Amino acid sequence: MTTITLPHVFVDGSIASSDEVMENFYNPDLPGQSFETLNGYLDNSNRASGWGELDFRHIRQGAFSSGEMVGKTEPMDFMGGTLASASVFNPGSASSGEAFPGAYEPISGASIEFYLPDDPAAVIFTWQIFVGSDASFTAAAAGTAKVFLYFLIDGVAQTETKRELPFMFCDHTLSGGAGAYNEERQRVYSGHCVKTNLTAGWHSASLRIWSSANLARVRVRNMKYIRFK
Amino acid sequence: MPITYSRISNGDAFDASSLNTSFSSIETSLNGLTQADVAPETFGRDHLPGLVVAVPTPISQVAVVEYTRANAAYVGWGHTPVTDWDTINTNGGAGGGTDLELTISAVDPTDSKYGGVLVFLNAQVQALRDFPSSGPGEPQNEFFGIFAIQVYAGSSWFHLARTERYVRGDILTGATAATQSLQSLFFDIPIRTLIRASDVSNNSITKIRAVCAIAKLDSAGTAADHKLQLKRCTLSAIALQGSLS
Repeated sequence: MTTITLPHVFVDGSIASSDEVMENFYNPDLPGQSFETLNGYLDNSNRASGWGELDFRHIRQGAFSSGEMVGKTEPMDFMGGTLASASVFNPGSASSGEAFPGAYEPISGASIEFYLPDDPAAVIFTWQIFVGSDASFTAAAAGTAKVFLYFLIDGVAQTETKRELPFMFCDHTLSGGAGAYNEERQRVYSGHCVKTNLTAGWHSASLRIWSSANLARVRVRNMKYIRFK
Repeated sequence: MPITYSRISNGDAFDASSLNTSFSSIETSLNGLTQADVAPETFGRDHLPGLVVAVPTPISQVAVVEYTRANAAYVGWGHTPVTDWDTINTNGGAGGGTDLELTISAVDPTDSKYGGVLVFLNAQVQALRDFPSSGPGEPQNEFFGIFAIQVYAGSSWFHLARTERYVRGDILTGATAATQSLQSLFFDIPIRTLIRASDVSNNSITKIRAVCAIAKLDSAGTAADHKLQLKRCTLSAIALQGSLS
């Protein structure tokens, strides 16, 4: 839309047409040529030259970006069982169960459902999560208890986000004595995922865990998404 | 500004001039809207462009690759020339594969609307230790892995020293000298940064990459056996417009 230019100028001595008067007021057939432009068609071209930039107060919340964050203060224990092969996460073999995204359990406080009002240019997901476990280190792969994290969007595993977490224990068969616990190896894990192909509508995202350790204790600091129009 | 419309009252002349004056006063007002004419939160997502001006598809690598003190030794904090750094590559320190590097549409940081390029890196360290042909090798906790972000702007790479992150190898309590070298770390290194115009001397930004290096407390041992093994790495970036005032 351009600036408003009224089509009719009245001249002394000439009869003013009532139609022309009305067309100056309201003529939806000629955009920008009547005051009908007020009905939602004012735009940048109607801005005074000295205005400068839009002020943040003029912009509706969520116009450029929006997001939501979830978290949980309660520690959560995920028990994989006393035998790797009997892990509740792992009905199959201990060595390959983590390969199946369906075997991962959603972590409460790190899972979210959200609505995208339009097709966004990008959506950023980030999370900070603390995991401590009795995952142990042994020389034999079959006896090694492990803990994995995996991030899924709309139920689809994001391959690049899969992470095996650090061992907390050294197996006694290697240390020559009792297994030693290494609490300093518990880590806060900060991950991210950027998607550029999500469409308008409802979506879900969740950080999930797989464990063959006896116990994996999880504290979720936060998980969030940020949408950019 | 409120629009002032002069009403035509009884006794006033109702002629061409009075009509034209009334119409043109409104026309002029509507063609010269000021900030005060716009109500708070008038503009929504249907009226405005997005903040994102460029968003390349994130790049990831998943296979285990390794860097040694022979081919990716740490060159020092903020070291230049930046080409001395080793880019994370699908072939590891040997290079020749695909770099963990993003190409974006040219972003001019001198533009008054430049907001910055938001960068995310996650790099998983699988192992950081000595891999000797025999014996226990050097203690794992003598090794450091280093990571950073570099930006290509104009015709040069710029090293963002503030993004350098370090991780130290450690030994599980209870591990013997014979077994300490077997353990994996699985530490994940996150880097988050916003690239500003001053980071790249106001040159146009076209590429972003991740670099890594390995260092040791001393020079004992065989440099080629001292390895930083990376597993999954992901680099993402979003160029944003919009400045606060």
